Amino acid sequence: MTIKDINELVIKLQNGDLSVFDEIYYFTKDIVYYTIFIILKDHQLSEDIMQDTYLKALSKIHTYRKKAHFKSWLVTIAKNLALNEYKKRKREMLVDITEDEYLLGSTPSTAENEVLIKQIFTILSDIEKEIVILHSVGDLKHREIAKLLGKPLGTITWTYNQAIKKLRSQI
Amino acid sequence: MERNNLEFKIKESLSERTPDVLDKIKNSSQFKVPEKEEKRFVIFSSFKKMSFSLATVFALVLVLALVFSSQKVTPVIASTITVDINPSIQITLDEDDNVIAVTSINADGEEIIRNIRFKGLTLDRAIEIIIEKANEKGFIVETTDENVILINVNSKNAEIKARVEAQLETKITSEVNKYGALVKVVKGNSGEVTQNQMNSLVAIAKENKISVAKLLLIKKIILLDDTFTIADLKDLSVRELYNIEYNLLNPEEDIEPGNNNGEPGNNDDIPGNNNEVPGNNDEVPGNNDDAPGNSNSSTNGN
Repeated sequence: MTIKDINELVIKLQNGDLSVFDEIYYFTKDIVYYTIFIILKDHQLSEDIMQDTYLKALSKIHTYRKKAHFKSWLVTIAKNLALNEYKKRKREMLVDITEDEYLLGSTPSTAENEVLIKQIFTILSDIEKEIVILHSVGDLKHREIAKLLGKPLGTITWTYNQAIKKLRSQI
Repeated sequence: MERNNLEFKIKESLSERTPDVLDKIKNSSQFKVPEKEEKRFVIFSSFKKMSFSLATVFALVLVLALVFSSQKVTPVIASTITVDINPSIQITLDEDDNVIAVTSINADGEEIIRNIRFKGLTLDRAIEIIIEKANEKGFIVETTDENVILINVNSKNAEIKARVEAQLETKITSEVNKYGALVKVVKGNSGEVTQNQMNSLVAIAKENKISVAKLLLIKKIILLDDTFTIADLKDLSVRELYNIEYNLLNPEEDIEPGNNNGEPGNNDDIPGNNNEVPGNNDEVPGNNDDAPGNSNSSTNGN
């Protein structure tokens, strides 16, 4: 789906047409979920915040302007909600399972995918994970990620390449 | 694996594990699109527009009043601290030891404090954040050697200086220990310098882009061996400077410095103070007021 396509759907949504919501949801759910999961590292909590993100986005849909990529806008909401939740639960969060334990234990999958996910969540730093997910899963361009994370474009490109290099060397 | 193939695999692997919460979203009572705000403006009468103008004027007056009132309560700097891990950071505190500002002295320091709002935090909380970030960025090393952290507290009030120094030393030690690392907190020995001398030290430190604490350690080394210059030493790490000082003080010793087990090289000539000072963990750093999704904001995602 192109930026133009998603913006057309969002305009319909802004005009009250909820029938396009499913398409927007399926187009964005991966990036929204993993943006939250990287911060909270808790499956159930991430699901809850994922729901909150979409409901918040709906309630603020009229404030979305086409200047930003809709996914970036949604990711900002997801990230802020996740960070707020993280701050709230900072002291009481006793979750100590690693991301890969959760991910590997939850859904049956092919061995190759398991290895890859394990590598992503074990060998990459938080910022590398975030950039890889925003780019590979979210299809955001490096330029858009730089704007979203407030970092120079060169840093994003370099970090992404380093992350991919790390993953390739491990697989 | 080919790069494009790897990127595709990443997407595929993660996507198949994304939970589906569509039904839950749709079943929520909040699943609706609110009316466009613009519609409300259309029905405004000229009277309402005038109310708007009045409200704007009132808001302006309120903002000006706030600006003027805030000027009256500008906090007074009671003490200035420099902390040198290798990132060099300067913290200014008010008389209740709350943070007025945190600034970086070098590029590593900038890495540590970037995007964190320290203003109003307690000293303890600010130190927790700084050490946490320093650990994240790899400046705190978990080895048999101690990490050497230089501190310097400058205050016109001797009581405040002593209190802050003690609090700082205790807090830094406990925070570094939390990460399973050892630490030696070395105080910049500036107790006897006059205010004029301190001003001069601050100017030299600023000129060389180092902290006062680091400058004091460099000066100590130069006093022990005048073949060294500030230019030679300013780019060395705190650990390296500490090693040089130790070797100059103990030319016969072959025991590694940084050992605090009562053996030679304990740097006990530098006074320490471990009085327990209660901490405060209530503050949380970071502020995303301008971004959507922040419950403290009235903008997007609120």
